[in-house]
Amino acid sequence: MKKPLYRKVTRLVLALLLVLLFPFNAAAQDLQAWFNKPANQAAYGAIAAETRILAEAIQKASLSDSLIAARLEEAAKKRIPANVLLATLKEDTARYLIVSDALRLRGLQPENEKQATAMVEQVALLLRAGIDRTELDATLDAAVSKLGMKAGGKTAVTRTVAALSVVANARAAYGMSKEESLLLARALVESKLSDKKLDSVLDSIQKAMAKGGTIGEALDSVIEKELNIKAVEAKSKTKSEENAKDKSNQGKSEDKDNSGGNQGGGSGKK
Amino acid sequence: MMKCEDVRSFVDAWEEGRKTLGDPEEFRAHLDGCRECSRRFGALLPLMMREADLSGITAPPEGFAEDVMASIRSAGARKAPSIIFHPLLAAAAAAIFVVGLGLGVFFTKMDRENVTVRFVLSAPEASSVYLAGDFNSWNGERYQLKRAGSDGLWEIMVPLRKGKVYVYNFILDGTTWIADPQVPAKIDDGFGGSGSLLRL
Repeated sequence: MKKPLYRKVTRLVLALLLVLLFPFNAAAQDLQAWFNKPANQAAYGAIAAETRILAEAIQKASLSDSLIAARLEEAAKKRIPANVLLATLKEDTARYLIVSDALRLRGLQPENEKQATAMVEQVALLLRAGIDRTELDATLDAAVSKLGMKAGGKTAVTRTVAALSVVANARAAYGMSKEESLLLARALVESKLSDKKLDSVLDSIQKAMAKGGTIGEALDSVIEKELNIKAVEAKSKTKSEENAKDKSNQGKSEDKDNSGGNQGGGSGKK
Repeated sequence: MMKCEDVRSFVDAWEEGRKTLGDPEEFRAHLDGCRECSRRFGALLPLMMREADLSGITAPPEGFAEDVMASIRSAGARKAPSIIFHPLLAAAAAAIFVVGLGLGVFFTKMDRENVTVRFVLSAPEASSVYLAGDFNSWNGERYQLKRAGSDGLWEIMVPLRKGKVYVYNFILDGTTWIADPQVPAKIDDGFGGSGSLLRL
């Protein structure tokens, strides 16, 4: 009778240890474990060293190398050659650092590594969908100005992601100019629509376009009628912000020229 | 006559939903003569032909709307079936209502963080369609779409967490990764292809 009880206790202890240890191992060895798999080693072993350098750059920004691991997995499933993958990982890393930089400048990147990584991954997807650094900066600023630092700024970032995903879809569908994209992004952030309902604006634009006219006219109409924001005011705000940004960039580049400082990072281009 | 490069541009334009596609017949003619392009893009041909067919649909004939409305009015005029009241029936209805209310609250709570998304693709000639994305670590064998009806539609319901942006592809016949033709915003996958953006 004693033997089964002993076995039960042993099993329980082993199971408990497994549960406690597994998450630690999985988090710490994402990249290493991936390259250690025989199939991955054979196909991508040649780029392992360079990939680790990129992962270190990401970790220095207080982000997890799971960002890299996720892209490795996607490439392996799509059977992408190692040289193509490495080139893409370099672009990805630059993008993650650009997003991290944009968030940190505004105090929006969470201290918790897991939360920060998830946030950066989400915003970086928008850059891959065609949103550029200027649009990201302007929308983040508008969101912080509207929502403040609620939930450590998470609410503002969520709003930014929601607005820019609508902009990415609208631009892909109707070929909006950069100015129009900025105008729409700002109006979406400032509207009273919840994050969930922002997508409905795409239907409204489609309906307005169906009546004839340009995308610019459709946007003016939707911004005024659906988002209840005076298009003229939104435009003047967007213009003045762009001018301020240009002046600030000019100042920065002059500072850079004077100091010869190296800012690193990317240009904000896709 | 299309060349292989033209075919690539043609497919890109179609995936991005641009209207200046050119002639799908020329695309078909090239696939007939080119084994490599046929292997890569053959599964897309029926989708394009279907879209081309749909674009030819014209307005309904004159008086169509009036006929439909007349049919609806005559259907509505039929006498509704009467329900016989019985105390047992009322008790059963009350019991079902209470149980249903309880279950509703339970599932509403469960669904506060998740939402079930229906992915649909029209691919009549495909022999298999899978869904892969960052939500399943790009596993191309986990989410298999099932045929929905006989008109070449494939579908799958997938529970996903709300408040996130996802990127995904459909995989036709185990080899061809395509973006969702219904979603305008494409995400450059950095590998020469594109995925689709989904925000929940």
